[in-house]
This record gives sequence, C-alpha cells and structure tokens, in this order.
Amino acid sequence: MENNAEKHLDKLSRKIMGKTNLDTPSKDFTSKLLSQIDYISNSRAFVYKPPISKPVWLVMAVAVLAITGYSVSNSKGETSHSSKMLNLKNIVSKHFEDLLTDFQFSEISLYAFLMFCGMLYLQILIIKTQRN
Amino acid sequence: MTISQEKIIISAILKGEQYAFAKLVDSHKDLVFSLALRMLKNREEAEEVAQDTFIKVYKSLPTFKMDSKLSTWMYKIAYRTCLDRIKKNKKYLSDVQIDEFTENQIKSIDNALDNMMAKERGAIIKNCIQKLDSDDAALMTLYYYDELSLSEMSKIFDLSSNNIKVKLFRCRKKLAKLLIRNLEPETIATYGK
Repeated sequence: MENNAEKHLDKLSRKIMGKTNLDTPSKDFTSKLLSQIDYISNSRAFVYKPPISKPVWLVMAVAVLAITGYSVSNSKGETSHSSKMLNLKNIVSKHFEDLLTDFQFSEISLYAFLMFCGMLYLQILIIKTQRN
Repeated sequence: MTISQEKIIISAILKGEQYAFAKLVDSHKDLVFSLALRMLKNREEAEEVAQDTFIKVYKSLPTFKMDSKLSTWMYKIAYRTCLDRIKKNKKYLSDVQIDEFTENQIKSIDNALDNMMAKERGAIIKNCIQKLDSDDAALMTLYYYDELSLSEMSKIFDLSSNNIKVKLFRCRKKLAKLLIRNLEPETIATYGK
C-alpha cells in the first residue's frame, strides 16, 4: 500500500517538476551572454608584455650590484673587514679586475645613478598606465 | 545530446566558434535558468546566475576532462553558482514538514490538478515550487526534468546515491504537503474524485 502511494507520489512529482513546467529566461539571454563572451575573448587576446623583461632586469640588477660591490670594496682598501669576509678579489677573474681597476665610484655618480633609477621607474609606471 | 555530439561541440567551442557555444547555451538555458529560479526564487537574480554559469562553463571548458556528461558538469556548476549566491544573500527558507500520505490522498491531488484550468494549475504548481527549500528544488528539477541517474545526481550534489534516494523520497512528500496546503479543501473534494 505504502509502495503504491510512493509510486503515485513519484508520478505526481514528475508531472509537476517535468518539462512542461520549465521557465524560460529573457529573449535576449543568448545574445547578452555572447556579447560578454566576446568581451572575454578579446581581453584574453591582449596579453600585457612589459617593455623590459624579467631576465633583463635580473642581469641589470646583478651587474649593478657587482659593480657597486666591487667599487665599494676597492675604495675602502684591503683592510676592510667585509671585503676580507667576502674575499671578492679572489672570486673576480683577473681579466675583470683589470677592466675595473680605474673605476671610481664618486658620490656624484651615486646620486646620478639613484636619480636614473627613480626616473626609469617613473617612466615604466607611466608607460604601463598608458598601455593599459 | 550524445557523448560524440558533446565532443564535437566542445572542440568547436575550443576552436573559438561562437555559434557552437550559442547552440550549447540554447539547448541548456531553460533548465539552468529554471534551476536558478527555483533555488533563488527571484527572476532577475536567476537570470544573472544563469549567465554567470555559462560564462564559467566557457572559461573552464579547456579543463573539462570528459569524465562525466557535459550536461552533468554544467548542472554542477549551475548548482554551485546558485549556492554561492544564496550564501552571499544569506537567504534561508523555512523548511516544510514531512507528512505521510495514503495512495487515495495522492490520487485526489493529482485528479484535482488535472481538472483545473491550465493557468490556475500552473500558478499553484509555481507557488509550491517557490516554497520548496533551495536544495530540494534543485534536486527535484534535475531528477525529473533531465531524468538524471542517481550516480549523475551524486556527482552534482557530492552526495552518495543512497543519500540522494532518501532526499528525493522526502522532497516528494514535502511537495505533496505543499500542494495540499495550496489547494483549497473544497477543490480536492470536488475535483479529486
């Protein structure tokens, strides 16, 4: 008896929840959706590429640090504790050492270098906002 | 839609053919929208959620592994998107009590509905579905509309097949209770014979 009731309840539910009683969205549903999809596809097509790539930045940073480190250790002379610790002169090859013997890192060049970095950063920011 | 048809449509969409996606949307939009409407109980929100669902489908299609039917996967996305919206809105509906029904009582409801004018019947049915709890409405819609198997249902709802069976059993009873509440006693008495 209970099984029969369950069967009828199933039949009734099928009738109520079935295909005939399905709701439909607005007429322009698909067209609205496709325009959104179009926008997504177009935004995917433009991939932002930075003017200076990451490896280039890395090489530049290593070069700047190496030059700065070398010049600082050179200007303080052999007695500097840090240069002894790093033993920088042993690391740098003879050829590279010859090339940089006359390199002097004055205060003016330090300020100029810092200014250059600041301006470069500013320029990148401006280019990025313009491109976006 | 068969699995081979689904594969063709997926590869066309992945190639960037928009008509293929439009075809997919047209064949599933009614069910996705109805599911959203029955869960969220609001037409505007349901339309938004249905749109979000299809956008998610479009974006995630390259990662779809074909380990289930495309429709099952889409309904799962639709169900989850609705749940997210419900959580966001913090909407909770009062639950309906479960009563026992006899075979005759159910036949009476069925006959009463059959003998009513289509418009009136439609309004009563919509009212009852509106009062169903979101999860119950989703379960009943997917089970009875697309005639999904219990294993497919368990993939969508992340529940075991047995759990789905028990839930469906309770949902049917809740729906009958709501119908009795919505139908006037005289209507059942007059038409239900």
